[in-house]
Amino acid sequence: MQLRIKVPLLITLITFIASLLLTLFFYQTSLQSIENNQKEELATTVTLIQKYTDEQTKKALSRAELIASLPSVQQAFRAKDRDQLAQILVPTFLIQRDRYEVRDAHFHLAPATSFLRLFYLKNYGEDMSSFRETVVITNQKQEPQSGVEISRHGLNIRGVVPISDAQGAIGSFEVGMSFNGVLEAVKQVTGFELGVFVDNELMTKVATGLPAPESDRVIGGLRHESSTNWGFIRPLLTPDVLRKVNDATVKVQKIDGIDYGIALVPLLDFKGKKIGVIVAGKSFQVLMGQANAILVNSLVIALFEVVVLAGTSTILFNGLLMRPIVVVGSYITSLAIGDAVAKSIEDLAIRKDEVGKIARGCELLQQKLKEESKG
Amino acid sequence: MLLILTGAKIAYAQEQSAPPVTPVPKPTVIAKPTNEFPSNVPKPIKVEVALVINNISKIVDATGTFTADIDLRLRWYNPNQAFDPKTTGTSEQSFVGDDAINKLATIWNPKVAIANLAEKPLKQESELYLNANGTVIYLQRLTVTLEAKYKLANFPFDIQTLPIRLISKYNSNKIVFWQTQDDIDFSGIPQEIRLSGWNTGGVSFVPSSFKGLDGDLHPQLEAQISMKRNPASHLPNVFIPLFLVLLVPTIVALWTNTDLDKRISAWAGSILTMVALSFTLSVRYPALGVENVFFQVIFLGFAFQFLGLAANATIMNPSLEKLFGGKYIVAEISNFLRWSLPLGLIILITRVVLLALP
Repeated sequence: MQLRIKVPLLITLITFIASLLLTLFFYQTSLQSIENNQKEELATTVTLIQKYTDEQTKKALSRAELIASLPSVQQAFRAKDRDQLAQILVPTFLIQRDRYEVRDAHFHLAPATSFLRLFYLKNYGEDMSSFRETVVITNQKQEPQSGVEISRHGLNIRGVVPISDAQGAIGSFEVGMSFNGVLEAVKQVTGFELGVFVDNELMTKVATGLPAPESDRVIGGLRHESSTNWGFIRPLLTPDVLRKVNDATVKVQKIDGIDYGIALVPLLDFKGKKIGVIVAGKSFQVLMGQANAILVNSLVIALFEVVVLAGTSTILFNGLLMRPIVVVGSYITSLAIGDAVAKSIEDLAIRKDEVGKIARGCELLQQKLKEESKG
Repeated sequence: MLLILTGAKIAYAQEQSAPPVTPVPKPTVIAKPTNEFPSNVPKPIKVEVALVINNISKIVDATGTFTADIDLRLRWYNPNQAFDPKTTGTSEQSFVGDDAINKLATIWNPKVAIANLAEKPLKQESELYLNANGTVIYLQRLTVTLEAKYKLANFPFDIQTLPIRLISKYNSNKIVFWQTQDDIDFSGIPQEIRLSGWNTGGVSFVPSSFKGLDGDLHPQLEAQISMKRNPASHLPNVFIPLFLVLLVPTIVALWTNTDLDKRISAWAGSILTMVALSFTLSVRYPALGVENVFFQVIFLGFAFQFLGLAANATIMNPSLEKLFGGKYIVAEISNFLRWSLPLGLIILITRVVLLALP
């Protein structure tokens, strides 16, 4: 291969490899940065789910405390006057239910006998001690209990407080709040769609007041309890994904060519035992678009680097060195074969660089040859 | 139509027929119909919204509008409308067409309107259902032309969001737009919409509020329909003429040894043709701005022509050879420009297209 091709080609090749490596490094760094941002966003969502669940628990507890401390309520409860309690509290409960995600408001007698459900007035008298531990403990210890627990009417975030008056303990009162408030609050802040899934066996055993779920709402033994958008959440989940959640997990998963960020948080009951999973999902397509834009721009810059460096090296190497050398070589050949019409290399001989020196030497040689041929 | 709209109502009725966990107390007396704001309900009143997009028949970029066939389902609870089914002999009163509109005018309703209507609805059918427990369901089937602010920077590789913006006359303290899972399940695009040049995406709902002329915050719910444009029909309009306009001067001026004046003429002709192409594009796609893919490509074409013309007039001009380092350097630069100029153009056009791809 000729030097005028070989040298620029080698320079181009080296430039190309160097640019490509730099581009890949730059893209990888950007991708890493985007992935870190994604993970951070997912971690923030996990924190918010836990924070809002805690807040909802406090709200439930504070509402329960408020009601339990009302003298009129204590008086009616002491007198076991259901009608009086209902008269005092049903209007308040309806407002709380319609506006503030309060689902349950329930009076119990020790150890855990239902006395009055404000959300279901006709249903009372059941002994719930086999499945309502928060109520049993509250009445035993005379201490408030709070957290997630399943009742006859489903999963709620609960606050249970003892009620007592001057004569001593009367029973307990609980407020149960829906998970919807947590899900909506997290969605508003983060843009994630969320869903709550609970152990189906446990729900079937305890929450007998609820209708059986549709078959497509049970995944991997977990029953869909509530969500901000079931249609969005459903495709993100497989039985395997839900079953394997033991700790808060975050991941990015490609579904139908689109990256989704998924956060899976174990749903713990008031004792810290896992009874389900809270799922949060969001499309990360925008972030992946940014990564692709970075890749495209990096590649374009790399290609321009290659073109410019290849061009510059070719122009300088061939223009300043190779082309003049070829001309000088032709001139020498002409001299050797005695070609009288050899092309002049005057333009090269006036150059002050190495090529000029060679050209001037050739011209001197030509003069010597002419003189010798005359002599 | 009645049957289809009734389907929506039946779905709701089925949901209502599930064992009630928190039963609504039924009044025992027939309340007098009134169109006053209900005083005996917790405020804000939840107005549940479901929206089905049956068809999108037209999307006009130039006017920033689109025409859609939609089913809008609103439901709210108004104890003033509750009645005793034993007295009336029915648990539900239904009104269709003008009867529905006339009845609605006599009872309180949340005065929900579509804020981005471009003109009066082309077609409107209504049904109204009053349940004994006070739940009111208002169904509308509408053909409407709506305003949309299209972002056309990535045209024809764009994905457009077509908004349907629902607002209420009442402020956020009085009513709130709400969506239950049933509303979300009911909403959407039930079947692929066949609109030439477009592919259907999904529908999402974004609740927010806006400040009304009365200074109060009013609730707003925006349904956002995602539509992806099919670029195939638009690309040949620009890329084939552009290719031809640039090909001729590239061959004549960079790859042949024609005289300088002929090379300059080739570039001049190409520039004029490019101006014509740009004008044609502006006429054909009047809504496109300078940031659009097509115009970026046209600008790159102009830049290519300018560089080609400048190179021919200077570096590749034999009379200016010495200025650029002599004939050997000029020969190498000319060789370099022959392939690097077209390659640079291809790289930049590819970049513009790749960045515009969704």
